[in-house]
Amino acid sequence: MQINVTSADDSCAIALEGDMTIYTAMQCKEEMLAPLQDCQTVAVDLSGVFEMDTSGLQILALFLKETDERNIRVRFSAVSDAVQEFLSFCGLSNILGTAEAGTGVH
Amino acid sequence: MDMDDALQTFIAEGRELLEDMEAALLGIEHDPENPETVNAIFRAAHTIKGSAGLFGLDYLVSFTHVVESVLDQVRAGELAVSTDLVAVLLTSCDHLSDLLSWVSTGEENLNDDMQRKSASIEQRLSTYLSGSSVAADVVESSAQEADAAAAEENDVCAAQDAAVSDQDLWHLSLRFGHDVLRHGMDPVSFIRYLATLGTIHHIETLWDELPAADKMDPESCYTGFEISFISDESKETIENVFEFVREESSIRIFTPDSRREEYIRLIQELPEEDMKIGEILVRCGTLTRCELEAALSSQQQSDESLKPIGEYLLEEKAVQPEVMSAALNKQKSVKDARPPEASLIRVDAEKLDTLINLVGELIIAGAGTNMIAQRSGMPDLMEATETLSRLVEEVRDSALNLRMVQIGATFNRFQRVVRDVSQELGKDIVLKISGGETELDKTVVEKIADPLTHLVRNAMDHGIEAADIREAKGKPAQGNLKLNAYHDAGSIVIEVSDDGGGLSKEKILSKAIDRGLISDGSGMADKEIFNLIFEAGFSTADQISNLSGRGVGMDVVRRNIEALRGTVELDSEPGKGTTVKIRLPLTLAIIDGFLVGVGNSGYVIPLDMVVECVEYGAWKESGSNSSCLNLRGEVLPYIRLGDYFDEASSGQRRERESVVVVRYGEHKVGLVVDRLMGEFQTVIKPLGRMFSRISGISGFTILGSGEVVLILDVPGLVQEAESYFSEHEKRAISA
Amino acid sequence: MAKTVMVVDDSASLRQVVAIALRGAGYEVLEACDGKDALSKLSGQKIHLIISDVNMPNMDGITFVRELKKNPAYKFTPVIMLTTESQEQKKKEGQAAGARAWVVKPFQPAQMLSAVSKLIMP
Repeated sequence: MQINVTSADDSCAIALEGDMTIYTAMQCKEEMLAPLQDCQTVAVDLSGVFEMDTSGLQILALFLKETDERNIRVRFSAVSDAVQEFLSFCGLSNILGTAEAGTGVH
Repeated sequence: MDMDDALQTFIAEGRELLEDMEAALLGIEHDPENPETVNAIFRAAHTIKGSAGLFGLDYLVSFTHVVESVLDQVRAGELAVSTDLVAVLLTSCDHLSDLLSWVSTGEENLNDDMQRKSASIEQRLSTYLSGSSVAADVVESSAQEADAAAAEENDVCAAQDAAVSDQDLWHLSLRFGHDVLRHGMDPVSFIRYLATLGTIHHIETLWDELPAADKMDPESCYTGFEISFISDESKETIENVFEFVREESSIRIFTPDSRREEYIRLIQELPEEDMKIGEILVRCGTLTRCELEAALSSQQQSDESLKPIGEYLLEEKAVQPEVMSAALNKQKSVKDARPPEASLIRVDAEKLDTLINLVGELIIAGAGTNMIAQRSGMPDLMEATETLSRLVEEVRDSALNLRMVQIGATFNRFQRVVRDVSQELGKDIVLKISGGETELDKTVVEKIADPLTHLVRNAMDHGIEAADIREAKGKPAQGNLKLNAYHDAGSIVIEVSDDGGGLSKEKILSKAIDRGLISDGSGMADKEIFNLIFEAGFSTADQISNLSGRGVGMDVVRRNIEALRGTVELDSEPGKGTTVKIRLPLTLAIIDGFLVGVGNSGYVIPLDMVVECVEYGAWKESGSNSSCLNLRGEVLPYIRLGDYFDEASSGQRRERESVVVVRYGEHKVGLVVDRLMGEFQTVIKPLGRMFSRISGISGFTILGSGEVVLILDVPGLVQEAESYFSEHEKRAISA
Repeated sequence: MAKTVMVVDDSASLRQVVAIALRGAGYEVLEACDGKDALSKLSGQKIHLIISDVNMPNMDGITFVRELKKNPAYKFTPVIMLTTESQEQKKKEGQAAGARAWVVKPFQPAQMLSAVSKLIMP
């Protein structure tokens, strides 16, 4: 799993490349949450994620919950078909929202 | 690869397992305490059952199941090993073998005969079964009854309550255990599978349990689902979707006709807020808003009236197989003791034969190349062909080695024969096996089993005395039978020996004279007398017994062995026992040959039988007309191959003749030839039926030059020279 | 991309039948005849699921799973163990080693296929 973070001022971009599964959950949690320390807006690119399982989904949920609590604006710049399919199967098609304000978690 | 191939593998595998099983069953009587032996037997039944199920061979599964149940009790120490039990298990083993044969017929069901047999053996086996092993079935069926009862009650309720919702929706409330992800179980995967059993109407993913970031372990599961689902599948099928996680998770499944109270209970039990769950149920379409309100307002109902609902909440823990039999927990792993299969591959025997044939051709072609190289006189070429022939030789050896199998497996089969026969005869006989690791060609092994069986039965029937007679003679009451094998001078020797009464020379002689086999026994060596029993139509037993007195005599044994280019001889000591020695060639396909010239033809003598070559003239008894040479003081009968095969003489031959001294077993004979032409690798090609009766010849081969030469049947020639010699000597004496 | 299942059992016929069923459903199948063989064939490639017998020569299924779970590349790979209804003790040992899914022998190919599909869809 390759997680690239680029930041400028108070915004950052996180791009994930690889599987969001139990094998990478630990890494995903650490590297996706770390940039949230000092930014106001964050753009997430999930176009490189080709496999997702429940643990990947949980990391995504945690990420959304954290950004919501910290009032960070999240935008999903790109989402792969695999992730989109997984989310809609779980009844979560709208979880990534219109990419504006932190979409709440049920 | 398709199912048919797999089925063939299964049959072959099954046969091997049955052999192991039989061997272990025979061993268990001597060593009933050894858990490994019991395990080996159990494993065989178990593995066959396991694979048979895959092929849908129900008759095999149900039969092995009963066998396995009995063995399971033995393994658990609940059932003692008795002779009777072993007998039933051996019968089962035989029947399993029959069932495997039935599998290969491809018939789906057993015929009446086989069915009856299965049933009768199952009946016998089941007398050994105590309550505990059927406990599993009982538990299962009582669980089913409970299920049925529950379903019945459900129907009543459904009638009272009418449909909860206008759609026939199942509702699943899933909260997965924290560790499921760590164990490789992905909750969404189960739900995806669920989706193949019907249609997911609505799904909600819940993360109420998701902790704050610093407390959240990414490898723990915090996810729950509420699902409404449309399906025609049975409750059991839907429950089973979650079979792998239900122990550690909370899986609640509501049938489409579940009562409102059940949902109230659900709302109360779930960790999330009541209202929230209620809303989810409404969103799922499981409850209508109106029903939800009614439900929430009736929450005050007493717990008592809710009690039966607990039964509807299909938490599976009730029917755990743990109940089945705590006693069975003593089981130990058995497979570890299995001979390593990993390093073995199964090869079609035909492929091996093809390979050996090709190697044979290679040898012939190689010999041809060698000859040309020699003729050309080019040193480089000669060196190259030298290397080549060394390699070919190695290829030949390893190719032949592929066909070599240990004789142990064949020997071990006799444990069963000895056991059965000694019971039949009421004698106490124990079989001792040695040299089981001795290897010989697979085709030889296959063909030796029959003659060996005959010899073994014969030894038990006629050789070893009844216990009382033995004791009267001061021998131990238990009779000993020995099977032994070893390599000797390019052949394998198999010995069957007993410590019985030995053969009576007088009886043999009188019977032989009676039958007109000989006219008079005088001057015959003991060994010759004993070996008379291999003559056609000979039986020395006073009583014709059920076993070996069926008219199949020892002559058949001899014929079978001779067909393998082997010999058989017998030695006996009165009161001490009898030993039958079978000598067989290691392989039937290729030999190292020694080429000799007689007249204008070439003949091949198997090299491992050649002792030495000497000059005829130097050892000829000058002037005497004897059929013997005096080789360094040793009397050596000889045969002139030229005369024997009527080869046209080439005039001056007598000056340059040589003697090839050959040995077979304990006999040495000289073969007088015209020319010695050196060693050759030779592929034995069998003679056609037309020529099979020509004495002195065992086959033919093709030389590298394309020339066809005959291979001498040394055992046959040795025998002939010997008998000619003794006749001659006798005549000389009586004259 | 097809998901890969490894079948570990000392019965060649069982492996063959399971492999036929799984390939038919769109899985890739690797075979091994015992635990040792299986470990030697695992070299970091992605394996989505392992089916393993308990009683095997050289290395039994329990030891195999224990070893498997030590390898970071496979510690979360689900394992279906093949067992008999009477192997409660083995089941406990297997659970301690990290196996959670069980299929009882004898089974039909379809049963195995559904057990596999519950854990990983093709």
